[in-house]
Amino acid sequence: MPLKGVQFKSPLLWLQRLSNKCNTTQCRYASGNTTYTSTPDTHTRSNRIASLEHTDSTQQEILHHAGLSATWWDLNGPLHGLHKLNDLRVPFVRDGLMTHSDIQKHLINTNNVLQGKNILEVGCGGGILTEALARLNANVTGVDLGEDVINTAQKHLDKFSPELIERITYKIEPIEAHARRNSNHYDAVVCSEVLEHIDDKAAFLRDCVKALKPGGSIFITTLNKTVPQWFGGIILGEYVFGVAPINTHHWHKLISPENVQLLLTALNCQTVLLKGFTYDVFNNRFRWIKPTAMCYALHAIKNE
Amino acid sequence: MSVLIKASGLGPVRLVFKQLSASRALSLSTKYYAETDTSKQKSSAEHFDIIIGGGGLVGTALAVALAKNKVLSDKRILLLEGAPPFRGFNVETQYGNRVSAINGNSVELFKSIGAWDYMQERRVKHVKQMQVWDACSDALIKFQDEHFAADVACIVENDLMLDAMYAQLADKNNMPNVEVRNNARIEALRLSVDTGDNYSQVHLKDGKTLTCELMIGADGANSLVRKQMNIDVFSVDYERRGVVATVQLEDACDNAVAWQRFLPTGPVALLPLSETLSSVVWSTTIAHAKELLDMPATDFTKALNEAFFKEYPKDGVVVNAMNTLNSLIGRDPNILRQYPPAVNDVIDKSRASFPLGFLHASSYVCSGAALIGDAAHRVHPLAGQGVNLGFSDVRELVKVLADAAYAGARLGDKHYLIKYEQRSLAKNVPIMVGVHGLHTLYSTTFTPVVLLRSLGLQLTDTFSPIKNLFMRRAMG
Ligand SMILES: Cc1cc2nc3c(=O)[nH]c(=O)nc-3n(C[C@H](O)[C@H](O)[C@H](O)COP(=O)(O)OP(=O)(O)OC[C@H]3O[C@@H](n4cnc5c(N)ncnc54)[C@H](O)[C@@H]3O)c2cc1C
Repeated sequence: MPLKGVQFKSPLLWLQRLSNKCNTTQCRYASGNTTYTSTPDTHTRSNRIASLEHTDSTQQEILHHAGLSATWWDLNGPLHGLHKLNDLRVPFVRDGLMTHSDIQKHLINTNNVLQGKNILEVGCGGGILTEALARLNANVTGVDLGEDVINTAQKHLDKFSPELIERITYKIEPIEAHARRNSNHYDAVVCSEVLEHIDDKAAFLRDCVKALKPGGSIFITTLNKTVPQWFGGIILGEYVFGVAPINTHHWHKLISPENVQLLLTALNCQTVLLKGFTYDVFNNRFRWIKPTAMCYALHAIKNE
Repeated sequence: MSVLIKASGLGPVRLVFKQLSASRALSLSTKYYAETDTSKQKSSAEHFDIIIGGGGLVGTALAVALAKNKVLSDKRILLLEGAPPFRGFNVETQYGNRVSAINGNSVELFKSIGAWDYMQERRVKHVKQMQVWDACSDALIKFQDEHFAADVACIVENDLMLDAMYAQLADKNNMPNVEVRNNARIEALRLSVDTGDNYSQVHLKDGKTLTCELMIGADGANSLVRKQMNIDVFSVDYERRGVVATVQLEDACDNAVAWQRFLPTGPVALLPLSETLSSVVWSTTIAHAKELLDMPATDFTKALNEAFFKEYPKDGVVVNAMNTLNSLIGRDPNILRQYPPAVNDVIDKSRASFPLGFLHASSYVCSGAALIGDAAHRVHPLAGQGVNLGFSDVRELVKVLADAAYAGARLGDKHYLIKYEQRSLAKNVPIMVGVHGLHTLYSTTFTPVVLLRSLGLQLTDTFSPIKNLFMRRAMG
């Protein structure tokens, strides 16, 4: 494949650059090629380091990411795109659960619509999506590999959102270990803007699905592996915004929705919704679009 | 800083740019926060999700609309009003002198918050037609629904609107999450953008401190919230006052037309209240306004009748052009012309006057705070749009806040508040520019301007697409 190995930039990323010169990458969760030398315990709100050994690439992504910890909750900072993405992804999860799980009538159209739902967010980072889901009254467990990001998430929760403390649990833990102890447990598993950083997607998705109850929902948002996405990133990134190529997304790590569906089907999951979205530069927000060529959101159900 | 711009024939227009300097904000902060630890402050202060500063028509409407929204029903809302409690409204007493022409959008808002029936049961005047004409040329435009089926506007007393909304608020089963405090003047504010926390601190005159996640400025044209948000404003002092009065008509009639005539000093409007009463809004120079307030009742009615009926000297060029235009578009001006009812008395103590100005805030929102109503924008009353723009803000803001809450966002989330700003700006700016333009256009007797505006008005009246566009904008 001629494009293989070309460095890739997503719209999300060049937008991040726009407001911040920060030269680190956006990377939230890395799995696959990870060797665990010991099993971290499951104490909630643990800030201690899970003693893990990762492959070089995974370790590097974690380190890269640590540099962003301080800016995670800065709405105008390098990760402002993730804040804006909540506009789409929270309703995506909310409405997905409304149509494919039993939500009591009286909760619909209220602030407590996700009451009683147990959600696992894999690669929760600083907790931008985690807190939003918990604010709809879901119980959310956020796992991530980076100690710094989990610290950031926990600190933000304690200081700024104490009302959510009861409903959020952050853990520094690989998904594989978490799924082993919590198989068939969650009503929903969410991996948002994570899959594009994973080496072994089959293993990652297998672990995600394992944690899911039969009938539960898996929600994925990620970037597509298409020429327009790559091209848009390069052109806009270099000519419009004049930033040097950044070692952020690797072409070979992106995955098309068809391939995600194939992997999920093999894991006994049925895709019920696939939607495209993109960043609308004129309105400074994410927007649903028909084609899935740029970014996409996918919702699948684990068969009973 | 004041800038004086003199444009030929337009008279002096004073443009005032104001910006609250950072130093002012700083001095406020030091005054109130020198010895207090902010985190302690929060634990001792009473906390609300939303505090609305200012219980005028717009702030009160927001309180009711928020409380009626299902998604927001678990939010604690507080309405702070500096004035003493509302005296209430009695349909047995004389009409109030503050009335508003409200459009279809505002009626929709009242319906959605359950206040419209209450108002209808008391007294709402439905206006079927609006006639606007120019004293300098007799150019004329009429607005009406094709078969007079729909209203072009409804005239409602401001006190009745407040009363209908308070009736909703008083029903605690209906809205347990809203509290109203009167005599609660906000003396100082510290917004979350300044504290670095995600709540704002509100200091009342009586020494109490409250905190909230979202601070709404509904505190009118001199908004303290706006100053604290450090938002620039563009404002124009028209150097005119609006004289209001309730007047008695000579003969009872079905009185369903709103009349407005542009005089060289400003527009005068006669808004129907009942078969025998109308309300006057007369914009004029400051000196003339004072005369109108001070003169005996008989002189006032005489002056008012004159304002509507007096023939003003017309420029030959304009008259000829108008005649030509009328024959071209095939209309006989004498058949079309209707005259307003003559007035024979002014109700005792109903005369009052208000300053008129134009103001627009450069932004309506910041993280954790938003402006609505006159705090964000103030227009000349000539098109009766002021409170309608405020009610439109209320509808947009409630929608956006409900979206935010339903997407798990904080109420003060700037990404959502900006959506409110974008939607409101799109609605408000064309109307504000239009009204300001009309005021400027009609404050002159300069022949070329009179000619153009007269031809424009007459043509607009003839070509229904343009007229319908105007009507849709103004009627909501
Ligand atoms: C003569 C005239 C005629 C008009 N006619 C029409 C018409 O026909 N149609 C129309 O749509 N509009 C009309 N308007 C405009 C309309 O009246 C205003 O746009 C509208 O009243 C604005 O409402 P508001 O609630 O935003 O502000 P306001 O009515 O100014 O209310 C602000 C409130 O905040 C309170 N407040 C202020 N500061 C503080 C503080 N620090 N702490 C606590 N409380 C505070 C005040 O006491 C007040 O109650 C007219 C205006 C005038 C002057």
